[in-house]
Amino acid sequence: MESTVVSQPPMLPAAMRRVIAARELPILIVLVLIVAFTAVTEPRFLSTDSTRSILVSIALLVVLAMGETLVLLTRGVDVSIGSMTGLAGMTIGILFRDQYVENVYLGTLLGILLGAALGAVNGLLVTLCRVPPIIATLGTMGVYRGLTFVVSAGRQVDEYQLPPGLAGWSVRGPFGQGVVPWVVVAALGVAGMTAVLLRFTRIGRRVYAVGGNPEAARLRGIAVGRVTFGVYVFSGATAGLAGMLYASRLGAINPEAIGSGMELMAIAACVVGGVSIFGGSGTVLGVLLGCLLLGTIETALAVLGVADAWQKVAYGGAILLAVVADGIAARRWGGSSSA
Amino acid sequence: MTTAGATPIAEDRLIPLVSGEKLWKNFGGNDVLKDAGIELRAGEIHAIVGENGAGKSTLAKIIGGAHTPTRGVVRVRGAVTTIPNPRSAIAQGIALIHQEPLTFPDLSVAENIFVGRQPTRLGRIDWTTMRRDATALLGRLGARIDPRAAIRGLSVADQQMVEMAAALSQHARVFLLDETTASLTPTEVKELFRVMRQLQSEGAALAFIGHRMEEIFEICDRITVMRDGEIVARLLTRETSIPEVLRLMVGRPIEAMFAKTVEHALGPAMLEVRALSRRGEFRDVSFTVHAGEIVGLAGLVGAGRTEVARAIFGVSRPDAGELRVNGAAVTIRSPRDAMRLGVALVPEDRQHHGLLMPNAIWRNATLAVIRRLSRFTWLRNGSARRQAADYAARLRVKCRDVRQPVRELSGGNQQKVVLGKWLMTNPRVIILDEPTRGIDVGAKAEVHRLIADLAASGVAVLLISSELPEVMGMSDRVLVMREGRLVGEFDRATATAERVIAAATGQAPPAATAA
Repeated sequence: MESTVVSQPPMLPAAMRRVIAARELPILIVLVLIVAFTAVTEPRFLSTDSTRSILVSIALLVVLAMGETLVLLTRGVDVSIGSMTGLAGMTIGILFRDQYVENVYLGTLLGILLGAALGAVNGLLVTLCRVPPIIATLGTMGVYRGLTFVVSAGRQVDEYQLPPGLAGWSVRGPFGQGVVPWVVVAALGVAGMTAVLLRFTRIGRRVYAVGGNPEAARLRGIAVGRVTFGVYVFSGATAGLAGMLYASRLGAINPEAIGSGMELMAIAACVVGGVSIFGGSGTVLGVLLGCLLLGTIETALAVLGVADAWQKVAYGGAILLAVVADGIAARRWGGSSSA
Repeated sequence: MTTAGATPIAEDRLIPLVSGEKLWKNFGGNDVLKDAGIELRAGEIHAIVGENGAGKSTLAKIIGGAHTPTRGVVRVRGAVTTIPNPRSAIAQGIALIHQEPLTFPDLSVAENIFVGRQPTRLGRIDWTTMRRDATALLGRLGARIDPRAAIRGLSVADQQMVEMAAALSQHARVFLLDETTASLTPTEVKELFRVMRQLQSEGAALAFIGHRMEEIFEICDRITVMRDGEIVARLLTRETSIPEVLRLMVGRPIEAMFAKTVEHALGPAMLEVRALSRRGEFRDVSFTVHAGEIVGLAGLVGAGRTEVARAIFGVSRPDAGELRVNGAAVTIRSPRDAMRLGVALVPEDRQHHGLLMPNAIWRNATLAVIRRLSRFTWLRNGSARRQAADYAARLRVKCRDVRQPVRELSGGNQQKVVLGKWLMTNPRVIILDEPTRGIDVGAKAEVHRLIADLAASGVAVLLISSELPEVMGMSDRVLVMREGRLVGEFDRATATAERVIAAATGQAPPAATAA
């Protein structure tokens, strides 16, 4: 009767639990299945052009998801990233069009800085004004999208008005006209930087600490407010960069389309990739795979001729599936998440 | 600090590592600490004992930087200082270890020790060094914990070890252990004691706050006894005894504080609990409450009293046992079932379980009788408000109007609203879980009067309270729980504070001191 073993939930061996808890393996399996199925049904799916197109669209998602990951790790959420992408991209597009700026690199830098400034507004709302993150960023999501129309007077910036080098980023890369254009290299660079930040710097570890147990973090002398502010600035900066990558990919900047809906995709990629919405847990590798999976699903569905509306259903479904599976795994095997 | 000639150790023994003098702390108009002083010397383990609410934790939290004193002086190594926050405390070598460890569940053991101060090399976190240092610290404590393991999944005892290691890594010399043994198994307690002795031998000062006398007499050199926010005795463990400490803890004549309930005849058995068990919470609990009777349920925090109440009320399902209400065997699957049978529970935490804080008084008061006050799902608000106002007047709730949100009321008046809510259901059995916690003395007396009136009107009352004077003053019979079991039953004639405390803490009743 006194046996403590009986009252414990059944525990699998540590190694097995690690494989199940590690999000990477199941995602990889699903990814391979989708690619194989689509390639068999429609061989064009694996052509150079198609692969490059998938990778370029995933690159955008990766950049945004890195910012979102940091915010989610602190128990927050940033739904304004799509609008920040739009406002930063559109503003720089106009600077290009009106020839205030001609250098593409200077423009990109300005885009990142503008994004960071927009993110700082979110950060101030959350830390200084104590607005819950979802409300603060929902508000700025509307404000920034509106401002995108204001600065552009509702007009699109066309390809001929942008510097000629910009579109090339989505076509050419370090290995010439291949499947790996510069946009993808940039995204990998951002992901690599984020991974190093999270894994090997005190700043990164503070992000985990704040999300894992804010009260304990405060008692251990971590400046919780400063860390929280920082992640929103970072999220804004990644959105600013994404704005430029978006302009490069589509060649034109439309005030309604740019970045729209990206917040949902980025959050989906993070959650599918194993970032806990309760904060404190998640890895860059998982998020990368999440992005890869969602991006592949998107293109695969398009290649297979599935309607746009159904693609949205598929994303929503993927998020819910991931979260439900996570919850079940946690209850069954005493793993991560919840609480 | 190091005067010529004296070795540091010898000097440490002369000057206490930490001392508090004439400390006062006021919470919401109540003095919870009155002129308290304490000295923690190097190389000693110092017990702070007292009943619940005596001020032990407040005193520890002031020294640990979690509270700032209203008045008084804190000295570290003889020099006057201020400790505005826990960060400052640890910087001055003082670590506060809580009953529930404050850890980061998703981070590794090593990282929990060094969080915010991870060793770096060329700007990058040096994981290898961090693990090695963590292993060394844990080794110094003699704890066998893998520094790479995640905190989630470690026992509370191991998490406490990690917190001690974290404190040690920041050169803590003073360890304040606040009820750290409350949720440990006997083996884990032994392990903790071994670590405490280890720290003691290294010249640290340890304060040990606890309830279990045998533990205190095993490990502590000195004992400070507190009562009602004051220090009532400073004793050397070897010169005192458990009965003496218990007597000092209880102190005042208890019966004087509460008017005895008017003697009246008891009615039939209204609530009968037979062999109720729930795994991990309580086992084989049996008792009866009659109509018009107040039965007190005493015990330490965590003895399983609240859990029994929740099981009776249908919040949780017992694994085994039988319930009878008004003589009939019943199955209670949910609070709804319980309410239908005339059973009411006034929960311990009114903020979370008892009240909708932003809502008006009358909305809260009529919540439990919403069915009676509505016709075909439409709530008759006018009638509800009138009835609520009627109850508010009877219970003397101090408010402008029953439309005032309850969060604007004082704790005592909030408690009256919760009571009113359940009284409106006309219960036959009412379970009160810590009904006077956190309310001021005047309101307390009124709540006590209300409880007595309820019993006089024929309601069966089960009163859970950690305040000994309250249980003993109010109850016709006192039941005592310890570690999930019913361990004692006393009627008015036999219930003495010493006996109840002895039963609650697992001591043999001190025969010599009884009345």
